[in-house]
Amino acid sequence: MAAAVALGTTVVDLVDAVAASRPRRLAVHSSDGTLTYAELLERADAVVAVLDEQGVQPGDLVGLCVARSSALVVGALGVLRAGAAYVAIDPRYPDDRIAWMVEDSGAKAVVCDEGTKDRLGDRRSTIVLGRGGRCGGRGGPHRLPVHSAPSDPAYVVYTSGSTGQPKGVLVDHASLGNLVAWHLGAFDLDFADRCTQIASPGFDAVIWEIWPALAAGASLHVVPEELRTDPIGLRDWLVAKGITVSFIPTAVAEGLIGLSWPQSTPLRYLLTGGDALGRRPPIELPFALVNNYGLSEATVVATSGVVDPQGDGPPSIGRAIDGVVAEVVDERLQPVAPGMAGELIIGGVAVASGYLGRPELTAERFLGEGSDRRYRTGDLVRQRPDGAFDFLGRLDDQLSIRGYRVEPGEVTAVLNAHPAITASVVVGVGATSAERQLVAYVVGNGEAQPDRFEIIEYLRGSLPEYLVPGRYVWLEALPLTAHGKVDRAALPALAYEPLPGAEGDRPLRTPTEAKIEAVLKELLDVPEVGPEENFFLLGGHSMLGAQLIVRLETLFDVELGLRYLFDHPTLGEIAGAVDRQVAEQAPGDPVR
Amino acid sequence: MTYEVELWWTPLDLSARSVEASARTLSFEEAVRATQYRGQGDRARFVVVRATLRRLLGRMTGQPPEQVRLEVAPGGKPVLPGSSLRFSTSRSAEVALYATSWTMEVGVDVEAVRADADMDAIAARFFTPEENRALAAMDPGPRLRAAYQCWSCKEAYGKGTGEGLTGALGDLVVWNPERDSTTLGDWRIHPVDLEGEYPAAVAGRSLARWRPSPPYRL
Repeated sequence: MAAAVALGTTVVDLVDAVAASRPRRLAVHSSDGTLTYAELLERADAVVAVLDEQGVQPGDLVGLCVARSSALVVGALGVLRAGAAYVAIDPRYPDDRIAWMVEDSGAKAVVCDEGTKDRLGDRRSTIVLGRGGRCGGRGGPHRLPVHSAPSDPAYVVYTSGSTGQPKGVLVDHASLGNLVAWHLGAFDLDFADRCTQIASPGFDAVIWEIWPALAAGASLHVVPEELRTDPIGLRDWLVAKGITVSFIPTAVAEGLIGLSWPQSTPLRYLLTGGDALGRRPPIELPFALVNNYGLSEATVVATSGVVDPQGDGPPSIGRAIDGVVAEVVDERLQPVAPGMAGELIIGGVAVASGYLGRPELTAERFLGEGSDRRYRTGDLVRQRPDGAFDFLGRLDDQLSIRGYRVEPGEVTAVLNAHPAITASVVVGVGATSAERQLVAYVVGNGEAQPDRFEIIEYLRGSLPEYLVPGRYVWLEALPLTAHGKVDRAALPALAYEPLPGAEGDRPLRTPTEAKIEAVLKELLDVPEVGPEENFFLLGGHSMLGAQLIVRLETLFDVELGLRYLFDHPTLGEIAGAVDRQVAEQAPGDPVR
Repeated sequence: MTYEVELWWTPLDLSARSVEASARTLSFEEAVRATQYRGQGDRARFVVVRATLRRLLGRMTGQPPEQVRLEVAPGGKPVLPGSSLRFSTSRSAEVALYATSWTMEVGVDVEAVRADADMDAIAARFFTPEENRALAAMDPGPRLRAAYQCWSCKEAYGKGTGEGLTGALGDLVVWNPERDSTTLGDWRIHPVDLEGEYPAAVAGRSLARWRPSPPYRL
């Protein structure tokens, strides 16, 4: 029986209803304590009392910097019952980062535990939770929570893009309520279910783990720390604890589904997400694997789908969930033809309120007003006829090599299929498109490492030349961030080795480039040509290329040949070749 | 009569309906590659030409278009791994032309005649003395078409070998208006007249006196 979420109710109301009707049911189980719903409410209300004393008002932000435990759940519920919103902070972050987040969010107070109380930066009201979430507040009889409206803030989670500082995403109760309602319906969650908590406290998946479980009156089981990276131990624990629905980050889930599971496993749904899922479950797996895609700016989950054990290519990321409107658009934000690749834009009640304290950035990424608000995800997708989406890569991750837009995922997919390679990541090194080289960081499977030439030969069997990295670096393992994603910044830095003949920094438009651009504009019938744009991707073909060469050779009195254009198809490179030849010709010398 | 080399062509339908239906059959990589093209028209063209190829190869190998596994050989020539079916694709702004063969490697090219294309300069710069002599002996009208025909022979040969056009320039003679076809190394190159309008050519890696089929409309 899924709880119905009436208009105007928030998760606080739902948990309240559970505690009222089933006070003795197990709410949270963790190594620091086991709480029934009645106990959970009592301890949360003690937190409310202390927050009151500290002057926290409804609508305020309160930091929540507590390790994964029942105390974390108590703290989160306490903040919401006070009518405030909590800022999710991972206690394992460095002190600087924690202090920065507290400061940046403008939190009025911070709910913390023994391990974090001294790491919060300057003097700020702190509420220290002991084991099981106990604090010094006056508990006492069940108090009515402050009633929050759907438009009131519920939580803030920090997200860092590939560039720049972390930003706080503010999500309201309407969005959170939508996530909960969808989850209860999609996975048929009710009070008999047993769910898990494994995600780091700063990763927005933790919100998805906690609230639907509590809203359904199910029990939440905190996964012991040492099992987070031990697939066999984790499997055994999931079976022993009778877990029925569990979220496991993709990197770990891929290992879990490869193990053998007892057919009588109580697990019904294994939900995964956080990274691109590269494999499908075996047919005999006794539970469903559900792949999910989402982002903090769209309240954790935007698309979801059960993964079919059979199918070509990587699994899809599923269909848009309730409360999410998904569109695929081109660079001008116009919808693409169905089936074509483009950027995913999310609309609907799942769209977050915006970035905390960053109005310009919010205006840039969140489009439109009111119920028409949409968020640009920066992800490249295409939609299948059945409505499910294929994730094709991050637009940010795309590199430009000789003017070709390169999707590193294409390269890693082929690398990872090599028998001696288990994981890889591909980056571009070099300042400009003309100079850029692809470098592959690869992790072997412990057996003999193929040399560079073997890998190149192998890749050439499936990839066009410009996608084949020139350099390979072997690593023991790929460095991961706290959220378990590949940490590109931590990859060993490589000295940039300039390609022979590459120029380095040059101004955008030399006179030579301007003249060549004029010829290109006419031949290709385009309004302008950037120095790193690729002739063949602008509509050029070999006949036009021949015309181009003929005209340029006449115009500049040089000899270029057609081969050069094929190997160096950008305006910048062609201009460079022209300039080099002109410089080599002393005045008065014959050309040939 | 069976042909060792078959030609197939289609006018390019770039309507929204056609692009949509085409896009659905493309692979991941192809979907991403389409976004590389800057112009919408070029993207649409890429998608439709590639989807038509899948449809054609699928028909010939008994598979739905989206299941055709296309890979890239060193040098960039698309291949169907595990099959003896060889193929080549070419397109102009308005049409796509495909060549297939179960018995030999092929290369195909189609061109659109443009009067403003400096063909005289291109011929002088890139064609061999023999080819230029043959062109010089023609009247200006037929000469323009003939120059394009010669160019398409070079392209077809380059695509067939997988080395591209630049491997077909220099002193390689690929066209002779006095003959049905020319031979070059192991290859035979046939000029093709598509619909009386588009100069085209197909190259096949066999010195036997094979002829291509008339172009079938897809």
